[in-house]
Amino acid sequence: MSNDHDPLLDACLDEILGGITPPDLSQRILHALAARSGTVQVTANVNSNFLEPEAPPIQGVRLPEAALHRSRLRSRRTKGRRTWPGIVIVALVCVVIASGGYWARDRAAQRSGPIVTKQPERVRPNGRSNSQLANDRESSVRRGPIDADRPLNELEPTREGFGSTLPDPLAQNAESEAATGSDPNRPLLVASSEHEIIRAVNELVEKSWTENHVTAGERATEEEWCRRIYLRILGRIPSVRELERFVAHTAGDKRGALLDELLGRPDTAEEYAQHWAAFWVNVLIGRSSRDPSASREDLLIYLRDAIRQNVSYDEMARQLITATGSNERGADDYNGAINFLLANQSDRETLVTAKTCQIFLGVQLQCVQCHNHPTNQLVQDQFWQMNSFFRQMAVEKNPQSQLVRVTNRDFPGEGRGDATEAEVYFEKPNGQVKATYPAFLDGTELPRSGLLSDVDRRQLLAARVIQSPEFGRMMVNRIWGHFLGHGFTKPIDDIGAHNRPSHEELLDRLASEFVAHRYDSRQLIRWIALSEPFALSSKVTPANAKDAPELGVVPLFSHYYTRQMQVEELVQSLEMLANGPASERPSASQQLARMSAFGEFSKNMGTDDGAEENTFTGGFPQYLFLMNGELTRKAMSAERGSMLDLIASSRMPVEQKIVHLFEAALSRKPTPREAQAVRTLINKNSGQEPTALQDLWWALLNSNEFILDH
Amino acid sequence: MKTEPVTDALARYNAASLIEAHQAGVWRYLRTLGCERSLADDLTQETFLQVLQAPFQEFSQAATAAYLRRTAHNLYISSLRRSKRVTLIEDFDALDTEWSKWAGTDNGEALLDALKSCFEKLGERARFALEMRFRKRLPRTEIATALKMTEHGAKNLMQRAKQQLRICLGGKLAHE
Repeated sequence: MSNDHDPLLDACLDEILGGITPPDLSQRILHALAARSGTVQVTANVNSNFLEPEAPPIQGVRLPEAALHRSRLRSRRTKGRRTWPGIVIVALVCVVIASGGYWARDRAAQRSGPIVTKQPERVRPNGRSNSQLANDRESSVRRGPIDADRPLNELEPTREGFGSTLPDPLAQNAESEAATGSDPNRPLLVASSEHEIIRAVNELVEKSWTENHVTAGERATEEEWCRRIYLRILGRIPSVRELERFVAHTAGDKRGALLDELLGRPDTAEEYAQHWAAFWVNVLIGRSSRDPSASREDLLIYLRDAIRQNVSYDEMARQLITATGSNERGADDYNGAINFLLANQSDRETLVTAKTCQIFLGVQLQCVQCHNHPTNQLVQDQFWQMNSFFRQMAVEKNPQSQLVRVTNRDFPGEGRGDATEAEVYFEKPNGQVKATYPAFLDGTELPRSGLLSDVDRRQLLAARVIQSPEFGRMMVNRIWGHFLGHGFTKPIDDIGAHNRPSHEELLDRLASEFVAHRYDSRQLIRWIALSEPFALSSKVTPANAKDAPELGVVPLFSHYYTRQMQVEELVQSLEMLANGPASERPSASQQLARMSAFGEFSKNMGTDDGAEENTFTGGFPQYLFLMNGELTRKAMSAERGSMLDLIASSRMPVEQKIVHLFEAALSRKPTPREAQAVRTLINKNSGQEPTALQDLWWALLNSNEFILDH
Repeated sequence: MKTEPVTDALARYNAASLIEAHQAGVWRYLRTLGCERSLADDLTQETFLQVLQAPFQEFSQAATAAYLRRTAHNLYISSLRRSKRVTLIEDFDALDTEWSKWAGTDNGEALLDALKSCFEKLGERARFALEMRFRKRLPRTEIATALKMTEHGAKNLMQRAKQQLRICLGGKLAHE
């Protein structure tokens, strides 16, 4: 080799003079090895001082190609970063200044554990210490003047968006407070009266109209409001009797009285529980099948029971997050709630981590599973800190019976096997492997032990979730969106500084009242249902035409947003028309059978957050699916005993029969023009009045107005 | 030989022992081949992953070290080919022989210790030139300016310094 370039000597001089020493890659390699391989078999050779590792080749694994491609990319990125440290420093300083204190909280407390070097200090030949080889924490983080792999918010002291706007919620009790580390001295929220809350809602919405130069539309008719309420609360249109009784009601607070009836009366309790159980099943595990070990029916049963018993929302969330037990009916530990966890099973419990944050906190944490978020303040560490809470969870499956049990077990950690410091490893985009421990999204670090005798991590997580201000906000946003057609954010389960609510003050007010009223969902429903925005007509006027969230603008709720019925609402409405409202409610399995058909309209995307694509758009093929179904046939039937037969064969004058059919399908009387058209139809079919009425009925159920919530 | 399944912990220990025993040597070897630091990190990882996921029998530490170096070299060559970069190693076999001779038995620890000792024996200007080159990463022109000599002179100075180091190293390592 030439004297000008001496590779061996140059590399050695780089090390002793340049300080470029070999890093300790042990944990990184072991973690990558664990991630890529399964069990390792060892061949014992008595003649060797070493156990001879003999790992079977991993089928289908081709290490160098993709890995080196990634390595090359990392190399280029890292090289590029090292080449421009000064520019990075300037850029970071500009970000900090321009943000003007945007990052207000101390980030240090939110950091994950140190980058772990597991090798014990060892003395090498010639007395050379291992510390000269293994990177300590500082040097492994520092790759140059600036470690551009460190998240920005490690440099900035605060994390906005968590717990910043609401006072602390009610504590559960002293014992749980001690266990969870919450402050028993936090002041309780004072619950306002219903009148005050509704007034506040109306004032805050009206304020947004004024600020945006929009005038609210006229109020909806009594019939329109009644139809909406039944659809939103019971998931079906009202019967003619229910509609006429409401319209005829002359007491002062007829709307409040109707809500009392729908939310509290025993004869509607089962229907209410059924509708909202289906609502929550779709929220928790979607419409399409995911994990075959999960039972949608058992989850539905659990939810129906919980809603029927008026279990508060926080308690329901706690039961779902901390669920243990079996999905075998009749077993002592049968617990349908475990199916939320089972349906969201994945490797290293990543999916249930994402779904828990998304559903209960409105945080799209799945976005930062593999890297820091490019546009908001979430960082990868947070995902794995939250994921740590689920690591004591274990799923046991009986291979013969296929029955499943969810339990808790000690979690020894992924590294040293020290359960008192049970860490979770994750790999940063640059290949660096980090260790982390449970910490909530607001940065609060929690006990590191993985021993159940020390801490039940899921119980801890549930308590923190419930105590988080985001918990109430997410529920309010969800229910508001259910009633008004649009939430305060889009998507509804992504709330944060990067996606600020359209009516933040209103959202915060409703959330705090929801907490103060002890997470009573029915109270929340009442406030929204009795508010002015919900009472407005869906007619768009020139004064509120620009309030068009379907075009992407921020909703102002200056008119009711017309939308198509959900699939379940359409079917329940048809069922009511076919069987009547007082008919026996379907069992969970019958309800599920009906819902499973609608799974055809949903497709699981297989993404990190288990997203579904809902293809129910009301198109012609789907109409054929619905309209040619048994339920639709029965709803439209003129067979003896059917609703249509009862009307046609009654002694009501034909005018009244027409009104009845209009009210049954559309919850309103016909307009004069419609009435005239129907009379003409009937006159053309003189002597065939039942046939004409059946044609009318078919036309009404196939109309756009029937399928719309307006 | 009897093959028996082992626990994950034991398997992990075996892998960890192998990594601990050889990672520094593999890394240094890759640096000798001309790898940048981050690429050396990545290729070191991939070397062990490839070795540990394929049938592997360890006969002696030296043999294992050689096997790892060969694997690392192949991975490096593959990465160069993918990036369409020309291989800068003129005589790989000679380099490998030299590495095996000087650093193959202990990952280069003795070599580095000897180099430190030899470096201290260099003349002041030679040490200064090499420090500026390797510690401060200065270009030859700045080194020449600092030493008040021509650029060619600085080049010759450093070449002679390296020659002296090689002679010194040869003597020291031969006696050990």
